[in-house]
Amino acid sequence: MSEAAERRYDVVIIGSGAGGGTVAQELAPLVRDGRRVVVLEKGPRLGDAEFTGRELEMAAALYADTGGFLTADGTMTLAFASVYGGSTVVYTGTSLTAPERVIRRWSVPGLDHADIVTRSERFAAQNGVHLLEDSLINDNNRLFVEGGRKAGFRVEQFPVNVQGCRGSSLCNLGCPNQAKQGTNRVQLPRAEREGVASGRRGSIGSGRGPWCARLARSGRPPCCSGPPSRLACRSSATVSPVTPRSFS
Amino acid sequence: MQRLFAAVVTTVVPEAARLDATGWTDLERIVEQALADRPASLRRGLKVFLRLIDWIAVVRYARRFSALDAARRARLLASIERAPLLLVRRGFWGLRTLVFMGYYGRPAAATEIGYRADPRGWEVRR
Repeated sequence: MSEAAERRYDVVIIGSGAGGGTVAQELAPLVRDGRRVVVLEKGPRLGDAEFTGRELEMAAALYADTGGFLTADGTMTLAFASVYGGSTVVYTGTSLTAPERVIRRWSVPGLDHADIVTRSERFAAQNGVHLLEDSLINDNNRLFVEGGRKAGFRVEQFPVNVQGCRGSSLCNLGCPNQAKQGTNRVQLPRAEREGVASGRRGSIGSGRGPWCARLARSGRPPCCSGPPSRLACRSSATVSPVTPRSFS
Repeated sequence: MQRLFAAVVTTVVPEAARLDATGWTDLERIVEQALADRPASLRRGLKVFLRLIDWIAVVRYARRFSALDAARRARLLASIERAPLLLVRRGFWGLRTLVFMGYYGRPAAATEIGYRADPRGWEVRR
């Protein structure tokens, strides 16, 4: 489906990853109050069968510029996701709570570490974040732990958000077994059930209304004013619906 | 151009010298696919860069790059990789990335180096 329709939304969320997907879920109750909320994601939405694990195919499907996005100064290539669910589709599932020193450095007014911990615990539970049982630790990691401990380091396990992991070693190519519980599997479906829409592209109008939260990848959107915690405007978006793609 | 590219490939990944005709076809197909979606300017730039490598070889050794021995080829590419001009270093980065993608993107290379990622996971590895 490629037709685009001009629609107006009260809230336009740019990006569907850890930030955008979570905000979509949190703002979904607004839909019940008659507000219109849409998530815009540049990348495609893949069906389960499309996560084939084939490296070149998945790199092209999941990453911007096939994982070879060149920085403006041309000194470095970056691999970042461009798919419904954003980085939560391609990361390893490692889910950490930001440490206090990081939050302090951010210096966001009204945001303290205790707040982050409370919120992180809630989302960790929601996404099934847990420590893997010993039998699922692979040989590489087991050796790393043993070696690290023998060398006198404190070695801890990263909590992960996988359920039903089959050890494909293909986390970075999108799990072919749907084990990783990213926003595409948890927050976005919940938001959609509440009536949050999704689309692949849109244009933001010059609104000044009370309900626009825009999570832009680069800087504050021009239509918004006020502190980051209260980004607000009324927006219109020309939306191309997110539909499953195929490799035909 | 194909001969020059093959010479660069075997310098960046010496194991590529053992590739048979099918292996080279697979490698080239992967590179061509990777370039197909990129801007025409990038593809033109890549050709220019390959010609630059050849030109430097002629200036420095009075021979085409593909006619140099392995040691000279490696020295020449290493100097390009460390070139003071950012544009040249960028070009080499891009070329090297394509070479790695072409060589290691082949399923046969994955088997060769013991890369055993598989959607079926442990059931095929244990």
